[in-house]
Amino acid sequence: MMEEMGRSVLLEVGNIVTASYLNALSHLTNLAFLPDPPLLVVDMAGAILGTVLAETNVAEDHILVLKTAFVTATGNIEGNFLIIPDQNTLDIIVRMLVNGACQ
Amino acid sequence: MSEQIRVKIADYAVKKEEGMLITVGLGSCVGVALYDSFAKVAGLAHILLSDSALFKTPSNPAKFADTAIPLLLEQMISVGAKPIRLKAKIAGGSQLFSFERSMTSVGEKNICAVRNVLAVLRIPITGEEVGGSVGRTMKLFVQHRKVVISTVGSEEREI
Repeated sequence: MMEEMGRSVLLEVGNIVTASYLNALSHLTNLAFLPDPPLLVVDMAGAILGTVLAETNVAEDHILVLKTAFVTATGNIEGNFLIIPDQNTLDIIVRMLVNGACQ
Repeated sequence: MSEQIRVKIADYAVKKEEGMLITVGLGSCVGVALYDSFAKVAGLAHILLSDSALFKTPSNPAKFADTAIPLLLEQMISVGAKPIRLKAKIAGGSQLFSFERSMTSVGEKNICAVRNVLAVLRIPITGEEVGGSVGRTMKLFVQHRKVVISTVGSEEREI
């Protein structure tokens, strides 16, 4: 398992990436996104994703997946950044993105 | 031939005679393994949420404990299983995230719902590994009706 320092670095990186991502999404959609305090879990990908889906109480079968690359001076980091909004928020985001693209 | 069937999130599968049913990454989800040793029919469901009645338009019945288990049962009966001979083993329902949004975690609700549904159907639970804070993978070996659990960084064990 990961040591304390590694965990806190991941938490902080997650916090920064999420905040800047939500910021960018705010600009794109003209909506305000408010992040909750970050949480870190190290486990099976499926278990984490399933739990997040269950916790957000998704009744629907669609999520928004944005593919992201993390590029740094010393190398690229492989990973996936997933945004799982609830259905209302997803509708709003999609509507704003589509309208934005048409202008 | 030892064919494997992978059961995805909010999904279920039934297998007869031999082979293996596997579901990977049960977090707060609960895996329900049912088998009829006489008819050699086994079934596995990966349940995401406890109650379909919480949603106005539940799209996928395999997602919820109250609808997935009867569906699994129905399919097992259609290939020769008898409800009275069925036994169940369950795993999952853990709490990966340490936030306490409500008093009862999704995992606990799922476990409770699964227990209730099985009790109503009079299917005894003969083995389980539930709760805690780790994700689990569940394998059901059809021929020997053996259920094996694994977690990150530990050995496989039978329940």
